[in-house]
Amino acid sequence: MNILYFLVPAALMLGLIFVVSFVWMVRSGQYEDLETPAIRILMDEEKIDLVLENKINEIKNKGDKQV
Amino acid sequence: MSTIPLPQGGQDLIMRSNSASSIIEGELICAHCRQSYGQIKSRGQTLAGAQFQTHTETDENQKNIKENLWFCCMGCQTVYELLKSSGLDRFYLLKDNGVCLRPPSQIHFNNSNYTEWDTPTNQPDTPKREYRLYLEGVHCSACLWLIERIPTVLPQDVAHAQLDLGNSLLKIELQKEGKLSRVAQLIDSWGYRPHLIENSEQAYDLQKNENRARLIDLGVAGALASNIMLMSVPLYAGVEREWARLFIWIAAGLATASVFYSGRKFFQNVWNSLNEKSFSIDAPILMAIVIAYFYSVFETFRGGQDVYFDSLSSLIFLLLASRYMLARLRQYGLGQRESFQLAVDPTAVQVGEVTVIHKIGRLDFDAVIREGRAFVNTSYLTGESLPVEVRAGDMIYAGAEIVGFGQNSNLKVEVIATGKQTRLEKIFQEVRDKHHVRSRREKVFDSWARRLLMFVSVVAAVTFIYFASQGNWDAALRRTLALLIVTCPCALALAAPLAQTLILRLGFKKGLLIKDVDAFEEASDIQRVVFDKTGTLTYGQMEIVEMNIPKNFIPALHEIVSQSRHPISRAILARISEVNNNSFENSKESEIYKFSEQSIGPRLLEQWREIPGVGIEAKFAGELLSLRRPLSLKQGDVRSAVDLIYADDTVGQIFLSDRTRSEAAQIIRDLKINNLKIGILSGDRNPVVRNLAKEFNIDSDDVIGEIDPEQKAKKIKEFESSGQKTLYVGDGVNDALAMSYSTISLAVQGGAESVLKTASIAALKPGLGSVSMFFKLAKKLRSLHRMNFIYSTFYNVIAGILAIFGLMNPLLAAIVMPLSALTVFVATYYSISKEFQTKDFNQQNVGGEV
Repeated sequence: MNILYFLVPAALMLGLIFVVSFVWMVRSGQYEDLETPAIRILMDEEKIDLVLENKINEIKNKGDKQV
Repeated sequence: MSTIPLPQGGQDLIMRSNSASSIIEGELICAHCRQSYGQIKSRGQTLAGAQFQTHTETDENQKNIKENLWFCCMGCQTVYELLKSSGLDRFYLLKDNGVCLRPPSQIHFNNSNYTEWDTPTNQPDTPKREYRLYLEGVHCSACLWLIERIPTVLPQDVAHAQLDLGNSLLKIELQKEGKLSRVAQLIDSWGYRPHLIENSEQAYDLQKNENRARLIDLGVAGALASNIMLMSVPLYAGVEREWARLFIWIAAGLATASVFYSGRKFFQNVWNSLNEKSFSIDAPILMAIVIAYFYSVFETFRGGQDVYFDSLSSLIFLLLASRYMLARLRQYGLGQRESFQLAVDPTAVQVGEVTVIHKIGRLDFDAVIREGRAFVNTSYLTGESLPVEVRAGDMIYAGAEIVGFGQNSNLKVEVIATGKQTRLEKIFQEVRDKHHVRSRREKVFDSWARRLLMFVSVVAAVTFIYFASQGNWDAALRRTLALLIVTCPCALALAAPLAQTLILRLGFKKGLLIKDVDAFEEASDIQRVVFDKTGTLTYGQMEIVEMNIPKNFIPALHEIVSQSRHPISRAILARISEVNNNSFENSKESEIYKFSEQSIGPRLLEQWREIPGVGIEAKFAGELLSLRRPLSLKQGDVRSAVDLIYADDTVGQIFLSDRTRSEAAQIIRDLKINNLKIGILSGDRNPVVRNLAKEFNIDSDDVIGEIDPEQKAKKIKEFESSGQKTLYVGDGVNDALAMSYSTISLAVQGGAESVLKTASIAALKPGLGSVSMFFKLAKKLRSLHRMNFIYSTFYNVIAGILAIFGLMNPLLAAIVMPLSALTVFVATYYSISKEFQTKDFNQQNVGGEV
């Protein structure tokens, strides 16, 4: 049972760490908009898309020439 | 409808997106809104130029269609081309799997140029030039993508754009020389209507910080409660005595933080209400918390195990949670600014100056006319449905719209008030001032809580005296304290915000934005419902009720009215194009009036001119064609009429009136059944108002026409001071003042934005259905409150009896208290979510569509 002398303060410390990080999260505005960031992160970078589009166009042009 | 050439790269788009526009099971799908043609009563049209292709022709054209873009309406096509030309057509790729966009409605293209948003008064007080706009209609990831591309379209104006999808709120940071009007125009042209949020930066920051502080309080309270519970489990499980001491001491420490940090709001509330000599439900709760805390601390020092730390800390957490939810929902409601096309640049006028007005549009100053004549639509301020003529010496007020001029085609006016000094602004100011000082009656819950507290105190005193008289001091103290702790109305305090929150959400879903939650409690006191006429009981615009025009005159009629801004001309124009567009409908009328716009040719008419107060005329095929007010009208006819005269012969007649909302009669009947007095206050002409009242069987004493905003407010004040609580239903600025004096006010959809801001309830759906909806919701909330009261009383009686007989211990309290709260929670939630599905609440939109 002596292990409790370690475990109980450890549990309380963990709790404290989470409370502190929660306060930080709220203060930095992470709870203000819960919907948009989840969508925004799924949008691809446009630059990459442009590269892709160029490649597609290249292939298409080649195809046209062959025909 | 002209043919629009295929934009460059249009075909490319289809191949990539694979479904920008395609045929699904023989149906034509619009490239913009993704709706099938069959459901839209409008002609199909392709960008490639094949005009008026309907779904019958699709079979032959299947190959072509793959390469074409199809649109259901001009709105969709316009938006598509705008996006395409800005290189933003990736929008369509993104939204393919998402929700569909509605076809942009005509309302969105309000042709405002938003230049008034650039005025210096609009500058935010920070150097960063940040603005917040509320956007109508954003709803999916494609919208998000599109809106956040604004900086790439307008790099010279916008530095950064960030959209909060859940709240439809766009935060925009302008470049140094950037113009907000250009941004607004762009967003508007895409079909999202922007509204500028007026709150100053400080007010916004204040609210943001308050929300954050509340959330932190809630999180900390939750962490404390859960840790205390963790420490309490060993006690209930029967841990050895020496370990129990340790856990109790830790729990005591955490509970101290819970009571004095997390619970500090309760101390403040009770202190404030005591200062105001009032009573709130917080008082008995705080009493229970404080008693439980000090009793438990006393036990801790004494070495006993009778501690209530877990109950009291979880109670604090739950209370904060339910209040947080309610507070967040209450913050809905927008600070918006009206946008108009102004006749005169507001920066160019000064008081005492004489200016010449030669443009049609709205005024934003008060003036007296020095020279000339004009026709002014004053419906904004007075509710009068037709334009009135003003001459030299007459006053015109800010908010009035000039729709036409007299012979010499301009108007000399002397400005007598601008800005805050105008009659309009004075009304707004009074409305704002009035809003803060409205007295509230004691809340239902507070009065219940007070009675409960009195009752419990008496029972506690009796218990204490009884046991003390037997000399059993220990039992007397213990049982009395346990009684006081377990009978606190905590379940009630939790259920009230929950019920309110759920009702608010239900209301929001049903199209009611309730900005004043107390309105529900006051609904039961309402004795009188007063309606505005124009725009509230009626649609607020001239509509054609009968049109007898020979078919061959329709194109000419179309042209003669299309050049005029008079409400009657606009109504005729709207009717013609409506009939024309509904060509899929095989109505008789559409066969008669259907015509192709091409057949009009370049110009049919010559020498078009408008004779103010009489009508319009032009030369058509060599003879004079005129559309004019009839020389004689049947007595008592409240309809307006115009004659179409060609070469001195009356060839046709059109009857117009401001049509009554179809659901109005039903709503008024329902209200009457519930013993509510009905009244109408209107700025419109007396015969028109009386006729409407007759239609609804309203007592003529309560129907008053031809009164101005100030008189309306006076009338409402009279009602209120004679003890008749009033619900005012209105839509215009002329109602704003009256609304601020009525107990509850409801703004119908489409009303002026300043009215939506004043009203305690704003309807988000068209029609008057929201009035009966409001009463229904209020009734529902009352029955919920009653139900919760019965539940919590039931629990309190049981727990109280247990406490008196000495059976209440901390373990039992830890079970009974959350159980009562849980029951009330579940019961409330269940009975409302059931309501979401019932028919009663679903047929609300009783034909309000304009």
